[in-house]
Amino acid sequence: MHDQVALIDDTFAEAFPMAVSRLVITADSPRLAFQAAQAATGLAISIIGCACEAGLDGALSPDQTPDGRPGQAVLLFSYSAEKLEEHLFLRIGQAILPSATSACFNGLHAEKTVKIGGRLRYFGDGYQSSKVLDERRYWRIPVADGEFVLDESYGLGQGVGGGNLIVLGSEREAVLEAAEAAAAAIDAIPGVIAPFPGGVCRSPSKPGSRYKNVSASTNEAFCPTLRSRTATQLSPDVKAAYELVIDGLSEDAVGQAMAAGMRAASKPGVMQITAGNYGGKLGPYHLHLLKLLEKYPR
Amino acid sequence: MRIELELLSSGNLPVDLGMVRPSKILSLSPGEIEKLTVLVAGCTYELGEHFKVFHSESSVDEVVLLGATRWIVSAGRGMDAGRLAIHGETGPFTGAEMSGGELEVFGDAGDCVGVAMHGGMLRVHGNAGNWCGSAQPGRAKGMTGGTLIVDGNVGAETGAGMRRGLLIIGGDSGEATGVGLLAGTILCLGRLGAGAGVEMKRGSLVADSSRALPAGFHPAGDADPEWLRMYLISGRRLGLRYPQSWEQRPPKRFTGDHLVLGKGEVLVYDILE
Repeated sequence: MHDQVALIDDTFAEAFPMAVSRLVITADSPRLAFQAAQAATGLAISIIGCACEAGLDGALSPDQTPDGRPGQAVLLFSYSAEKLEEHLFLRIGQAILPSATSACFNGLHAEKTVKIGGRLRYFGDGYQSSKVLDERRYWRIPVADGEFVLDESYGLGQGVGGGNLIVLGSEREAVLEAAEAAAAAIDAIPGVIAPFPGGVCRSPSKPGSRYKNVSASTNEAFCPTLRSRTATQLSPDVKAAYELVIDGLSEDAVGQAMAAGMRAASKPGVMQITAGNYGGKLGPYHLHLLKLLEKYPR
Repeated sequence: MRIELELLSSGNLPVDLGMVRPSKILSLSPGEIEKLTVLVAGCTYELGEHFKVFHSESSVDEVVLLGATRWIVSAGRGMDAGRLAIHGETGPFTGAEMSGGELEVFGDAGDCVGVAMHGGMLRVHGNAGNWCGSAQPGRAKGMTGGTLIVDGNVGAETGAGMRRGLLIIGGDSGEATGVGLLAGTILCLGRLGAGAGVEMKRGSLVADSSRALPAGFHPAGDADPEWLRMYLISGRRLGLRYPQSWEQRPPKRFTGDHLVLGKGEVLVYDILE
């Protein structure tokens, strides 16, 4: 194990509030539930491109799901409740409903709710029916392998988006290995997702661009090939940097995930672990790396 | 706070407890409770003339009725909150028009248990009579919400005209269970009597066994619906034990009653010859 303190920058990640929803997807087998969850989170990598960030929040055993079947929890984030509602409707209707044997339940109890099943039921073309159990209404939409059961309403809470770590090192292979180890550690923390492919992002971005119609662009300060042309943040030996973006149900969950990620990424070949911020102007949550390691001991 | 009402003797005259609601009397002193009005054979009496009243501290706010007999009428009628436990038998209209709270009967109950109920939890640990969870006499709509569980057998026209809610019968059910069902769910862990589901428009009737269903029902194959699993899981939390067949194989599904709207369903594990 490397000396963590020497690796980790005395800086902070700047996170901000995001609308969040949690789905519990069930199916006849863990594989089918996973497939449906994977489809539901497709292309939800970054709010920059598709207004939604989503990922898997762990497998669920039959005794953790409403219908006693294996399940998969999914977290979805967006910058506004309206946008998230739009994505819930689309993703449940277009990805989960067609998935074999699936059902989709609300997994977040929140004051604010949005009607999704109550709108999606019209796919039943008049053959849909509902059930009310324990003061919760479910819709049953007939499909070709039985019925698609889903909640009428889904909770919308306030989560935390934009937690991040940047792992830098002299060998790309070693840095990637460390970043993937961090992603695996983050994956094990409940209530958080790392929405990029494999949890790892190779294209840190900055807001805006020199082109007027582009809202975000590559963050040249972290690109090794541009170190001679820009105000680089890379030391001379650094050849690769990978970012881990973390969204969670709470600041605490994101902080815990970042601490776990930093520890897992502290591997040979890693020269520095840092985080992105905007000088404290963007978001109210300032997650100081060194303080997180103290707050969340191993 | 726990309040115990012990029936002295009603002399085989009906004692109407419809005006005694837990939410109302839990805040009263024993003296005030004794002055409450009860109807005995239609005449007005003070409650203290027919019941001994005891007060005690308890972590649960509840009213306990001791020594109840089938002459107790309308116990828990219109209950909206709190808990009422009845030890002994009760007569008709127990828990009628309940909208909230919890009512438990540790014995048998008479006819019209939970009629026009629209919320709360009513559980009878014995048998119940006819028109359980049905409409008030002369009315069309039965239960519109809440959960009604009878651990034993029930009489005829159980759940008649039910509009919403959950009705669970631990034993057998009499004739015309779910007649005119408008919506809601009835689970019968035993056998359905003749004419089950006749004229039902919507809703679900699930039973362990039944004779041939009325003519307006059409077979729709085997069913293994997720919604039923959810109900069974919820029932297990309430301590229900299902017949072995329910755990082993899917029920047969019938849709109907096609002589009316035909959007209802009956799920039966065994059709008896």
